[in-house]
Amino acid sequence: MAVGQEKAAVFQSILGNVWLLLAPALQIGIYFVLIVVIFKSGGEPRTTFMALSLGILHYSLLGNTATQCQPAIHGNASLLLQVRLEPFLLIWVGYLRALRKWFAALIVFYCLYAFFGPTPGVKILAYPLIGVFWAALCWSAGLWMAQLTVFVRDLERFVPIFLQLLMYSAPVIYPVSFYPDSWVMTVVAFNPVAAAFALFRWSLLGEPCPVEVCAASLVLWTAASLILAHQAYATLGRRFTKVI
Amino acid sequence: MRSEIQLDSVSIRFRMSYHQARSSQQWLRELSRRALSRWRPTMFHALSNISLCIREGEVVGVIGRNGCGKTTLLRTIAGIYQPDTGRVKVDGRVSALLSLGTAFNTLLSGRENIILGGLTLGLRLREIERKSQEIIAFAELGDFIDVPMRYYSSGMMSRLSFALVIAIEPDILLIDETLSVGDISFQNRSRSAMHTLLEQASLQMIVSHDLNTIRKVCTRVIWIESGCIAMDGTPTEVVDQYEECGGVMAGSPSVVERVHALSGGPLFSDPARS
Repeated sequence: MAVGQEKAAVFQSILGNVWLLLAPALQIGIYFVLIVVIFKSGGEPRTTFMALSLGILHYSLLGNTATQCQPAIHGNASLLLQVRLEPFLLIWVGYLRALRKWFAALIVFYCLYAFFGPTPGVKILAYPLIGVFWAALCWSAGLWMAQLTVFVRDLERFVPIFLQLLMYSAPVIYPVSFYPDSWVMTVVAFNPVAAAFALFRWSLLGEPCPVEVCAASLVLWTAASLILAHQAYATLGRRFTKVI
Repeated sequence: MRSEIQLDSVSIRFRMSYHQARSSQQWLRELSRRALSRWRPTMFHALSNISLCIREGEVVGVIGRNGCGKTTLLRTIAGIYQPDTGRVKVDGRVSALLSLGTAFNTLLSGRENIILGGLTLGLRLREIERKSQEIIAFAELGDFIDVPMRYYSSGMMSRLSFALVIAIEPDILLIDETLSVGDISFQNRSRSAMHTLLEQASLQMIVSHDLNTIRKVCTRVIWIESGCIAMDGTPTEVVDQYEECGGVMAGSPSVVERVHALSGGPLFSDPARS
């Protein structure tokens, strides 16, 4: 189903799947021009470029998950009313599509990292684990968004704005050191996205952060969000077809 | 395994999605009522306390006016709606022909949609691959099978959809008003395929307004009225009674009247009344 939807998504597109690589590359380009060329901020261009690439390409999973998962149930209303189909499957299909885009973005990132990134230290060993928790957190977010949007359609308007706010409130395009010292602990403890990106930067770019607090925050928030999202589905799932 | 459908005191209700306010003042009043938790959603009972048992070998026709709950009943049996009260027990592989073409993606080719639609309808990939030639041949699409479905006529789309559904070989078949699709030659082929399908499936439920088909095909008929079973019996007695009543039970409000009563106002203006 995911493959079919992906094929349909590139129908009559000239560049087709090239967009998987082109879209994140263009996004990095825009932020780079904005921060380094126009505002002349961010320090050494090469380091800033690498940090921007890391932040934007990893954050793209959350954005894509929202785009694909949010309409998964109410957008397939006619299908769900004609065929007995577990709505969970449609949300999962949306997430798989988001993951596919993310993997393409990660390929771009790893190429850039190999050419422009710092020499990796032992901290890089933690990177796959951070990636897994980040992917799990995004899945739980997608599951929440798909379910809640069935009942409150306002979320379709609100989520894109919220994702932007979330991006700017987390160290996605700026380092953790931008936060005032007294804020760091509070921000990473209460914002799992901030914790995840502080850890990404720590493991790949060697930027300092309160590792223990970030790791604890990411693990706890992800576990809580996953459990609650699946429990909510178990409770709300039987009502979806009556509401859509 | 013996195919059987059993419904015990099944009720389905829907929350009315529209609010009743028609002016900004009323809207503010309703909003404040909601805020004070005095507001309770208005519920619409699509099925009320339905109990029935359908056994292997039966071909059950479901009749009734538009909006009386026939499709809701089929959707409940198909597992699309979960009952609010009561219990639904279905033994056997169910296939619901509620609408043609809903599982298709019009940007993909007919061949790709056979796989997509087959998976959605619960077939395994190996099963679809084994049956795909048979499906293509039955749908009579020729070279169009590799063309995106957006270029298909509605008849072509229906033919492919119908061909896919009859390839499922279900134990329990639920059909909702989809007996006539395509042109005359395809209708003849689909009718004979449908009869084969009806013979293959050990239990069938057919929702139709075509009382002649119901008389001919069914062994039992259920008349639904305002979400309740008005009559359950042989085709002759139920259809005769239904025709005698002109399809309307005396004293039972129409669906529009029921919704009107729930909403506390007219759903749409009637120029004849004003």
